[in-house]
Amino acid sequence: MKEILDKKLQGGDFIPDGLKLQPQEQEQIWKSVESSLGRRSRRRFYLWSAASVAAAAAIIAALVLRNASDSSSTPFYPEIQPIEKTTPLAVSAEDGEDAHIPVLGITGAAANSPVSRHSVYEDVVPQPSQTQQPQTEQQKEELQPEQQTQQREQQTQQPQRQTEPQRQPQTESQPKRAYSTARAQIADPWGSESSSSGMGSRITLSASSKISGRGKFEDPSNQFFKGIAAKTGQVAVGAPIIVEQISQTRYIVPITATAAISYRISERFSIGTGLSYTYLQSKYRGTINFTPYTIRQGLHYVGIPVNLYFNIAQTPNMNFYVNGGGTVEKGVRAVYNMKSKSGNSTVTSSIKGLQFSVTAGAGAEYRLGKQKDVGIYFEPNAVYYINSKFPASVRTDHPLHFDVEVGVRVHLK
Amino acid sequence: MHILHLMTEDNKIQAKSSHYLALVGKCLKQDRRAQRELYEILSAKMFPVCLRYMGDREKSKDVLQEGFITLFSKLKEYRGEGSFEGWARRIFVTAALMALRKSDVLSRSEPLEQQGKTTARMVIEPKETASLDADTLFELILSMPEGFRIVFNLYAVEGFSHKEIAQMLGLSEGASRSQFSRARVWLQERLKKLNR
Repeated sequence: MKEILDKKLQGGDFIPDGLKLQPQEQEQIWKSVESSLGRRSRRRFYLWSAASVAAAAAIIAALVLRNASDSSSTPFYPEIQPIEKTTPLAVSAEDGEDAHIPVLGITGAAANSPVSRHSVYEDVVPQPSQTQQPQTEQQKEELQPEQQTQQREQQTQQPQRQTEPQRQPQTESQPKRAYSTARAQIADPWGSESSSSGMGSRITLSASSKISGRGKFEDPSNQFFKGIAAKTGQVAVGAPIIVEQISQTRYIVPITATAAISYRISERFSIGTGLSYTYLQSKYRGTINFTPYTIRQGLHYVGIPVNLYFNIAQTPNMNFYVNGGGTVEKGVRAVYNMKSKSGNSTVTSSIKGLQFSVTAGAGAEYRLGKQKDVGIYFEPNAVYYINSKFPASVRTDHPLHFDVEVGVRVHLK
Repeated sequence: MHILHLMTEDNKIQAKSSHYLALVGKCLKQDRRAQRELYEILSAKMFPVCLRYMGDREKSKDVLQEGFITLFSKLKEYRGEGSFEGWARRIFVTAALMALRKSDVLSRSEPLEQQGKTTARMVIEPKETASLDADTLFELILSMPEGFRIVFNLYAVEGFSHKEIAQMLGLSEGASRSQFSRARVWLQERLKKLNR
């Protein structure tokens, strides 16, 4: 019987002509179905749009609030602390070459430590007060020729400095104030702010752990800052450098632009790679040998990301997804712009090594083209930078942070 | 010069499957034209299914609409294994059963003892059904009591086993067999009347 019925009813498809669905009935039913499909798509679209916008707004607001510097309460010109005398530290100009960032005059562990994680604080032994003593021959030989010239200039200018306040010597009972002690030994390259104490001609460095305001760099001595100073010629080669960051570091939200391709490995999963470009910018105020500067640092990176994408929702033109993966990057160039009352200077530097990071985030993509195989995407991500040894930036200061990626993606399948 | 291109039955089935797969792929990307095309192909095939279960045109159109909404939402679950039409048919059968379950049809099925003379065993001779034309057979199915019609369609037309029917309808396997036997008897009675 089954076979007969199956044959008669054409496998269940048979229907008498008089009972068939009429074209207008078919159209009416399709309209209802299409309306339902549209409602469902729009609902998903609105939901995920709202969620993405809210997430992006929250991330950007958090970044903006964190990066907002309290500059209004921080005086541009630092209040110079009283100078105390100290024994100069023996330093070597060659030590800095081993560091990731050019550094002058830092010896031993400090020179080889990762820039972002090491705080150099030189504990200086105070000396009883003394007038400028004549240099011994040994001391003279240790100085660079330029320093000797500068010292001679200092000595000739001493009579003009008699009106400067007397520096109180530090006695054993007074607390050590390392960052202020070295000024007496500074060789002033411009010959206008040299100390009258005449403490000696040895190269002296002082690393300060005191930052007025709410400085962000974990390495307050700013090793790379010193390198900048040397590169821009703000300080003569071989001259001692005292640097101090006097304002918060303001980070601009890192922006990454990527050209990517993706390959769909299943209905919801895709894997992608590409080429990325990232620009990191930070800005802060500091002093180099007590001359105030505004430093703007720009770092350029190129990288190759590899990510796995999981499609959450999709409409005809948009899809929403979450992603995870990693990136390897190479620092291409570091650009430093230093602005002071006397003018601007800009220096570029290479960046050594590779940067590795892991990423997780969400994104929204707008599909283009007839085949909807090209998309423009917006992707806020949480990123963790592994063992960053690159120039101090938002990445070194906060290995775990958020950034925003925008790009173009071509879908291969 | 005419070139005759002969396709074997297997090739036709493969071509049809490929076409369905291509359509499904486009539908998943929310291609409205592909969705419309799929609807037009399936609506002609699935409306008879809905009508055989519901027995009423208006109710059948409602079930057809619900079935398509469900089909498009579940389209991503189709893995390409087996016939797409068979997969789609199950969705429409389920939609029809859900609509019928709402009205609790099976509990209201007319018991056999109230349908007139009861014979000990009545068997529908194959030649009796073979002589029926399709239109008449279809009309007979539509006029069956609802409970009989559901089980008859599921067993005799769709090819489900009584065990599967029992699970789908929340019955015992014995109750499914009983309903089908009653449906066959009912059909036998009607055929005899028609042949007089």
